[in-house]
Amino acid sequence: MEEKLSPVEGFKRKSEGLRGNIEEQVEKVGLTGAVDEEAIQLMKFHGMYLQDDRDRRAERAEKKLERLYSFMIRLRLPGGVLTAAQWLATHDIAGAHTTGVIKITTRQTLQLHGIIKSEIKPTLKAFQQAKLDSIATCGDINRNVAAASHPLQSKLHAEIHGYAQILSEKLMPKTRSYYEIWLDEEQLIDKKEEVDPLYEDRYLPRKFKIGIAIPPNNDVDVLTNDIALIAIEKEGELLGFNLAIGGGLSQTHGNPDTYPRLATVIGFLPKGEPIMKGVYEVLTIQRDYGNRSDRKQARLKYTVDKLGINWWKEELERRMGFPLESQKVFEFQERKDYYGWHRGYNGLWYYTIFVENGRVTDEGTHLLKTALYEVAAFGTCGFRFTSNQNIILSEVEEKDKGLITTVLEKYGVIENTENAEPLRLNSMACVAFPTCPLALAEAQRYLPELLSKIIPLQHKHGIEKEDIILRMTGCPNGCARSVAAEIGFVGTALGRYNLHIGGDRAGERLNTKYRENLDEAAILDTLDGLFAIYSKHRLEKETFGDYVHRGGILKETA
Amino acid sequence: MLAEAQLATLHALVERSSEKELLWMSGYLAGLVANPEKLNGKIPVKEEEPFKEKKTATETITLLYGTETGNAKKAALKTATELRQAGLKVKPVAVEQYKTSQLEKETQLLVVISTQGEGEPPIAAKPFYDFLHEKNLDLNGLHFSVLALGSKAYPLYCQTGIDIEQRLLQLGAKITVPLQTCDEDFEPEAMLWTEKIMHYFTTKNNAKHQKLSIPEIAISTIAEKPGKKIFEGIIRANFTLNDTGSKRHTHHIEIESEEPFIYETGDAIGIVPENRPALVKKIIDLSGLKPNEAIAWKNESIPLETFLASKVNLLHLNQRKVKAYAALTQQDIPDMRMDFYDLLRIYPPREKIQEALQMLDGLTPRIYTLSSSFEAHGNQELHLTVLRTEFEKQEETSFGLCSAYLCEQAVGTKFSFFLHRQKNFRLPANPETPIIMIGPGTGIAPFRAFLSEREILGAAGKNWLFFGEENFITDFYYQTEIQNWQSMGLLEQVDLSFEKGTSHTKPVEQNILEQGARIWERIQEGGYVYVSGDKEPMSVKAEAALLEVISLHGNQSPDGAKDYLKQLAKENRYAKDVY
Repeated sequence: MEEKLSPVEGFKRKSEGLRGNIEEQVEKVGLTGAVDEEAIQLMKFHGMYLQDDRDRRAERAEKKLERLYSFMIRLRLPGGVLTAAQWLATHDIAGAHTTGVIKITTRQTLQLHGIIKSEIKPTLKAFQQAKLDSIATCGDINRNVAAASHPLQSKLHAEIHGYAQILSEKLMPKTRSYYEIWLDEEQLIDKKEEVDPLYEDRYLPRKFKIGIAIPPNNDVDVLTNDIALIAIEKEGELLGFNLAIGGGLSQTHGNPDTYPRLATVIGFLPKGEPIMKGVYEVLTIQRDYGNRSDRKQARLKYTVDKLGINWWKEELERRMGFPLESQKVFEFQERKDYYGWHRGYNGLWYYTIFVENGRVTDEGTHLLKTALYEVAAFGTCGFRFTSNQNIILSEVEEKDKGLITTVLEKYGVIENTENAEPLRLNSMACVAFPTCPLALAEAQRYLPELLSKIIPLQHKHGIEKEDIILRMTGCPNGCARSVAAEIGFVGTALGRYNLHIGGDRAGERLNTKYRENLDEAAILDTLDGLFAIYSKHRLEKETFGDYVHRGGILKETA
Repeated sequence: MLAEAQLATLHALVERSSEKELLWMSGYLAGLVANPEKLNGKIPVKEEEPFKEKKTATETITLLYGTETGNAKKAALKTATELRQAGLKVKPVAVEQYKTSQLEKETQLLVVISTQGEGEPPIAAKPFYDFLHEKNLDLNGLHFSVLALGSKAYPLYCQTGIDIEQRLLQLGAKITVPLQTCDEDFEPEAMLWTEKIMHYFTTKNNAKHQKLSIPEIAISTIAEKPGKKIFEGIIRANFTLNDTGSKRHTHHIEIESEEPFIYETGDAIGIVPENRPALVKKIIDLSGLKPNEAIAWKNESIPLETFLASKVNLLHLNQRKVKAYAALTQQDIPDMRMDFYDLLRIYPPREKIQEALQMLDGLTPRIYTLSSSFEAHGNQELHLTVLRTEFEKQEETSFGLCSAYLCEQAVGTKFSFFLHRQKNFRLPANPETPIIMIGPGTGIAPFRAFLSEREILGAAGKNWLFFGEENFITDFYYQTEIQNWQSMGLLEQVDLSFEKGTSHTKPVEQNILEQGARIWERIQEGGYVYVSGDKEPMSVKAEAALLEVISLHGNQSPDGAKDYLKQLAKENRYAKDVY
């Protein structure tokens, strides 16, 4: 039975390669700083979201002004890698056109907020000068490819990042519309030149994410992606990848048909052509079988559950033309970043900076943005972003290490990284208020102060050294992966959160909703109680998430 | 449009008639147009008493909408457009901008509201929702209907709409059309609801219309000329329209008149400013006189404090005054403008203080065009749109003083004013005549009044606005109202000129030139052209552009174009309100 297509499907199909009415909506001097629904949906494919400053809504409405509309632009950075020169450019662009804050996302890229309609083109042109773009970083398409971020940990690292890069390019849309609309490239007369065998004119039914992990570290939280690739090595050589499908965390309050899901491993594919083919065909199957009438049922995870793993394996093998091999043994142990200076297997140095909630800005005596600008100006390191929203200054030669350290020290960056408590270092929050239109509650603006109240409770029970993973999202869509944390907060209304507990440390088990609609006092009270029991009854080396999962506490859930 | 002979007859009649007669005729003709069956019959014409109270043929339907995603607004404006096309008077208002004190006075209310998350109202609608539930209102006179938007994905489907219907019923209001719920794909149900509403009103109004003999029209303005009658009012709202970060401070001020204030849309009010109490006190202290010392002023005896506060100008005295003061007190004072306080302080008048006070000029009133419409806002609610100027730097002293005085008035303050007629600045009598409004900055004031009026009367004429200011983001005065007027079809076109915040930054006159062909077309259709705002340089440049348009598209020599515009002005079809 073919149900009525959702409106977004209509916009995509008549868009002529994601052009639609974008140019007209952005260019015309209308009465609004926003664009219409069609342009909103299509502009996502070009890497930008229409947002408004929700803090200002009431005041502006009283002044008879419309909402303070602006756009968020998200870059395409496969594996989260940037050169020093590109960082300098991003810094300058942020200063000229945006709120000034550079936000590191939970999927290793950068986004800038507060870009008004007339500043979009200048911003994207400036990015282009720095060889950066925002193609396909939002929308119903394969988005930024995330990959294990710590080069020091594995010899496979460079090779894995090569895959992130190749996958990203191979899965880009074929249309030249980005260049035409934003960079004034000459318009194609004959649109047939850009036939897209993967996306056709429909693209995917919903967003699509790919992550690549190198065990034992699962810092990319690989199983939360639609496609998870788990690198398998033998004696330091990459053999290929375990292929897992159907991860995704978003759900909707009050809609029991929506749920978070971790990806299921369906087999192994050797490196090179086989894995590339495998990934490509997972997308074509989702393109052909995903739900296009209900966007809340359109992610790959629902298509996987609807048709079943066996069906998926057979269909995939049929489309690939060769069989999946059985999955190889692997073990994830952690999802953490290694802060401070570390020396890689190649002899080069890496400094991982703690960036609370990924916000690069200057605050008080912690002048992170200034420090990074000065460091980048030396041109002696690369920039890498982690899925925990931190920065790695990478590939530093021994002789250049001292100067970088001096700058980081001068602006309080080292102090901030070294003094951060373990709970803070292992925490994340999404953007939420004031710009995210989906937010029901605060996240990145509130989590730092909430942590300052939770950490004393850890001290009280003697568990302050534990690397407990704690995450907060302002809505159930899960950008900061709160349901894949040992302690997760999911916003329900201003000042209220559902408390989820019991995720594991390595990212292989989701947590469970334990209490609903807690205010701050109730959060602290509940955690105080849980910490007390955990500190008393845990087994040796047992994590908080594992203990509450095992200890029967979750039987009395909300 | 008229044949030459007809036009000549009309002009002859017009020339022989008084203003009062003309007004009556314009209303009479409008009435005939509204009731064409009267055209051939004998019409009983009787001298009617001027209306003190405003009467309208159909009641106004207030349409409140509360939105989070914009869907409820979309649905509401669609409904409003449909109802207007059916000839009903409907006023859509965002619930956060609605004056809750009005609710007990409403007779017909429509509510379009969505439900968020766990059965909550949209954030912006929360104050209204709470007000409704907390206050014990008497809504016995109210008829209403609710359109509730929601999502079936949530357990408390359309709860806010349901709550509002329940509460209005509790407060005594009566349902006209039962609650209509709609899911995310709201359009079909919203349409159904609109049709039911339309049916309700058309059956209701048909019954009513039959009783009317002669159409009752807006002849309220034939009321006695109030002249310089002073009215008292209370400031009900006073806030800046500019957002934070703007260099401008333009205030929207709402005044509630204590008694009915009869005016015509396009009129202005005069305001006599007062000097700041702190300054008055400083001068009294310097003068050595008592605050209640009697001062003789224009055949009256006034206490010094009142005299200084409200009778004379104390700021930025001109060179002539300063010279006179120097002569009076026999001191050597440089030839420059100076505040009275500084004069007294630096060059004490000694025993000549009384004479020095007598020498001051009276405070002059300042005229502000109303941004409210008599028809839309009623006879007791007046709106002003005032740019606050830095009066210390201002050449025109009273101007700066008055804008500062007005903008500093707190809500609840009493305040006096008088009517200033602007009989050459009027909407066309024919509601179908197109109008072109050129009003950047506070020049928007009379045009907001015009548009409100044409909206409430359901006038079918095309309306075209040229507006501009410094920054699109912070200085777009009445943006949400203008947006609504455009999406309802009231405004056929809006041309904007902002220096910042948009990618196109053409000045007003350039927009006029580029739209020349269309402007000429509208003029040929009998259209009216208005210019409002700064005299220099705006109105001069706008007029030059209009002349160029007439010359180019009307094939006129420069002088011919001037004559043409003069003729338009003579017919009140080209009118300026500039300052």
